[in-house]
Amino acid sequence: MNSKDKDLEKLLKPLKDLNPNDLQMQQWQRAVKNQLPQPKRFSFDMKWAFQLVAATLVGVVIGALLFKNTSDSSAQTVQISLSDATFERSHDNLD
Amino acid sequence: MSNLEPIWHDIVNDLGPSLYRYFAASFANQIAADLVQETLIRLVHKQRGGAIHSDQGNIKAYAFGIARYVRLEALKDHPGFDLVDDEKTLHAHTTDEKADHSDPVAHLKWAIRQLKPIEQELILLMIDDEMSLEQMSMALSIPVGTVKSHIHRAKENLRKIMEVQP
Repeated sequence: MNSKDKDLEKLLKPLKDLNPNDLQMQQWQRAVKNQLPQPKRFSFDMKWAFQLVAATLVGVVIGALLFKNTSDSSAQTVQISLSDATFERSHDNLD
Repeated sequence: MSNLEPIWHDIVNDLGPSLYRYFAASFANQIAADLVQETLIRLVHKQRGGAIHSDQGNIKAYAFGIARYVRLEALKDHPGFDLVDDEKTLHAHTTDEKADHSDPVAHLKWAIRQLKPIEQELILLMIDDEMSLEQMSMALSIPVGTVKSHIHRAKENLRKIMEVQP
């Protein structure tokens, strides 16, 4: 830098010394942050719906497992007593 | 810990003070702060729109290019308010006000205002020590050679104006 530029630097020094305060810096950071896409957050309603769906799925899975076990044993029972399953016998059992 | 993308956090920290000095040379401090914010917001939109590469030097030149338009819009919207420092003195200042030699900042602002528009813009960019000729050229959309010749005249004229005594 030549001496003339040093003169100019001296002339511009009052403005070069100006600095924003912390509050203004924070304000600009916030303003920029607000322009950026925010990470997706679930609202209360969405959380509630998500929990309902999850609970339903868990319920269906548990139900399916239980039903499978039950239906296996029922089939076995039916198979064992198949030869005795006459209309009359069944009717008697109902009474 | 901030949730900002690191790059934007750094850009605001880097460009904020430079843009503030750029605007403070023409406007009151509070208005300058608002204009910095406006510039940064427009910069984010431009960057997200794919108009700017992520290169830091490029972003700086682009930011000052945006700042130039923001400044011109603000001068159009608030003619004569540029040296106003607070509400109390809002009506006491006009574009034809005299130089205040007791306050170095006000005197320098006044002197810059006496320059031609292109010279004013170059001097404002030169407040930032790290602004290269290429970045000035990009910010003002004029060739580097033209920037050099205008800078030379701007320096001379500012020096002469600053030497003027009341």
